[in-house]
Amino acid sequence: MRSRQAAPGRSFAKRFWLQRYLMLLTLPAVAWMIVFNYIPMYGIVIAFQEYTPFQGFLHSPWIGLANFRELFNDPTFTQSLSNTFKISIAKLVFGFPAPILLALLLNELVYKRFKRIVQSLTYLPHFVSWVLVVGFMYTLLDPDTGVITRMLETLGLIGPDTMLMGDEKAFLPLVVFTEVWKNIGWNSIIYLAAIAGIDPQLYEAGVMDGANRFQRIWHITLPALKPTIVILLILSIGGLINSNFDQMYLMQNSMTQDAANVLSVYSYEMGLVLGRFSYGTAVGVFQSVVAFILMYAANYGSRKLTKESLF
Amino acid sequence: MIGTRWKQAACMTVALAVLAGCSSNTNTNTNANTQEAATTGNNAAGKEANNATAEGTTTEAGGPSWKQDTSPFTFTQYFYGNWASNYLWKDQFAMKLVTEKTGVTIDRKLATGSDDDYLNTMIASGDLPDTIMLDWNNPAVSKLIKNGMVYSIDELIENYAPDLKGMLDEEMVKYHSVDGKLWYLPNYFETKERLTSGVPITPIRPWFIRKDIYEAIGSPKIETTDDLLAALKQAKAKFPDVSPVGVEFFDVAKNGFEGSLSMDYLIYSFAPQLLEERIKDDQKIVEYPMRNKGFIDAFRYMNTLSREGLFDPQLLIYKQEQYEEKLYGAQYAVASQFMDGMYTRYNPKIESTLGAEKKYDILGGIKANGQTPRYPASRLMGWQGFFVTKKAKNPERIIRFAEYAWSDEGQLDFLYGKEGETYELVDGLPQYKPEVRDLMLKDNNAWYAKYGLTASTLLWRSGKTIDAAATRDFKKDQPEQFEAKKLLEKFNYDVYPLGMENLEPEGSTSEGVINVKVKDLWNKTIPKLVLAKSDEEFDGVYADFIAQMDKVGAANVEKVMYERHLEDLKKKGIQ
Repeated sequence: MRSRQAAPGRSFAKRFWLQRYLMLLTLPAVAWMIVFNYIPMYGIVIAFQEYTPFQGFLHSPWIGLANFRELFNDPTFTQSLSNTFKISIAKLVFGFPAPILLALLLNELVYKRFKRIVQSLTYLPHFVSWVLVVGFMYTLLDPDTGVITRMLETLGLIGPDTMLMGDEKAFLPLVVFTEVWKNIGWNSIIYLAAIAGIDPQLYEAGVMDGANRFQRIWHITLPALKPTIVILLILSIGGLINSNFDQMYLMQNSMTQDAANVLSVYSYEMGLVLGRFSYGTAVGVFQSVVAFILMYAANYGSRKLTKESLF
Repeated sequence: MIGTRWKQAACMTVALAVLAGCSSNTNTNTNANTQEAATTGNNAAGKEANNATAEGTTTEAGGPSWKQDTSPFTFTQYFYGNWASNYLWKDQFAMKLVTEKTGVTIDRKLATGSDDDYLNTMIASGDLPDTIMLDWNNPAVSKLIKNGMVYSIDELIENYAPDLKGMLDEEMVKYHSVDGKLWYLPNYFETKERLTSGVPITPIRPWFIRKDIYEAIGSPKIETTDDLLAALKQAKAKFPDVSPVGVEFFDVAKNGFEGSLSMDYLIYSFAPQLLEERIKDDQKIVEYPMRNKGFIDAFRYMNTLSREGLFDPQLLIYKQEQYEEKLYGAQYAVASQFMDGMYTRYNPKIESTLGAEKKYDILGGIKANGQTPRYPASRLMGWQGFFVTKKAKNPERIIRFAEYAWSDEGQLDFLYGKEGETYELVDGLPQYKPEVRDLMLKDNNAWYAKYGLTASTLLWRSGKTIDAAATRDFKKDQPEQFEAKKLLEKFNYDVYPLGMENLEPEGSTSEGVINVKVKDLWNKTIPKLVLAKSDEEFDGVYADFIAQMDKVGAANVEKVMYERHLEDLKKKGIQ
């Protein structure tokens, strides 16, 4: 992932020529990127226009930053922005270390068959759609008949007749919990793969030196995982401003709508539901710019602190 | 206010009840005329239409324009309503009949997912089908017209199908013209007589009570809101496992300001004059209903139910499916559901799975504070418009096809099929053959799949003469529902002259944005009101809401609603 392998001292042209066959191989992918990712990007100009479909984005009148001005003056937008960060940060704090822990635990299992079963069971939820998950939640959290509600009630954690799905305070914990439950197994796969790539001699040497299990994890496994962890962390920080639209949209109802209003829901409602394409795009542009800044900052910070970075 | 769901419901009721018009408003057909149309086929329609248009202009003399070319031709159509899988063309009887006669096949498409998303994306990308069937009061309609994305129907008629002009109802043309032109052909436009003739109209979502529970509490009179409260308390005492009240899902964006469609029943009891009271001519505004005392009293009543433990707060966050599931299980003592749904879907299912004693019976209109309820009944001002887009490859064939669909012959083919095969004439009126009717009542989906009747052209134009036939069939097929509808009919009043249709500002205008914010605020206020622990809390929440609503600029919307109210009156020729 770090592109510093090329021999130093040679000019770009020369290196390019030496790698010409490889370059040729990447050509289709580059063309694909240009056609499907870069050219459509021109469409963001409608964020600065009073876009009407009939005139198209070539002829719609320009209105400068009017959309953005309205955006920053809309309290619903500010609310959605703060909700987005609140939810994303909570997801990052709890959701990011969880798969690492799971991977470490799984790796320590001696009985391979059990390991495989646990691994499969934990990543299966990743394939269940949010529609179903939220459906389960309504059933499991029903104040009268829900299994989980009953359990929490018996344990004295919640009062009788608590409607968890309609409780603004319960919204964030539920969002984070379901997210972790759904993706912990899936996200641990990449760590397990990285662990599998660690040279067994290191562990053997560790054993010879009298390192116990925790010491082996701490001094061998984790340092070997560091590049993977850092890169995934940079990517997740870049994604802080994107919240899971499916999950939010499905979990919101009239009693939790203030907590569930995140940027993606806001831009969907403004852009598609109301048909204000320019305004919706403005929200999207804002989101992309912030995501870019966040990712760049995370990358920079990580390069300074750990010498690991994505680019 | 009259949401799509209501129209959908109405449409299905109508389809089921075979209240499908095959007479034309302009031609004022008598039964004999219908018979003539049926027996002599297109000649009757063609002849009358020709008489109506004196000029006769470009069409070749002697026949309807669609007969000039009956070679195979397919056009695409988007139908706004993702529920309408029964309307897809799959070689059903009625579809084959249409293709046989006109050569036309409709490649009809539905949205996958949300219709508004689909439609807006289609408009934004300019990737339109040949034709669109879209609710005429959908905000996207003005976009289509203003952006020049659709043909003017007038022009198409003039150029290619002059006979169609004479077949259109003048009142309809006037009401539906925008900037002096007709841009779509609206289906389901009903004339004024509809309010007094035909199958009784039920403009609200009625409330029902479970038969066995009602008997167990001694069949008390339920005529006022207090009676209802007392009955619910008794029901709860005798049947602690049953949830006392069931209402449909709450969502202001989808259902309008009443929140839940079931609230209408209470709202028009507590505020019988609601619509009149909202119009403030002196201030030149049409108020939001949330400012009306009676309207809020309906929610106060729900609050009372909630505080008495008679209302399950889950209903505030339920989705429609969750409510339906419980209703199929007859888990409510008193439940709300649209009339036809209760009698054709829930009651039969409950009878077959749980027993006839658990079926639901209609509750009459209830008085609140001594006032008699008034239900705003509206004949349908049209449901969907048939638009021909500028992308249409052959607008000529399409408008000629519309002429066929609009003609008496087309209507008969569309609704009843072929004489002798799917219908016969009884007293001069068409009636399904027994096997067709039985399948329709027994297995509606199978009926659609086999015959496709009422699903081919979708250009319903109902009228007064056929109402008799519809009423006849409805009475015979669904006596219980007919009685229920009769019971509530006496509370109806004609809402047409009030000019309160289609008031809310368009979504993309600045008032439209405010309106969305108001709806959003109201949407989260409803649960707070219903679940308030005391009167003080209720009043506090309400006062907060009004303050917030004023802050986001509700007054601007109220002015626009007044302008639109005047416009509506003008279109109807009242002022």
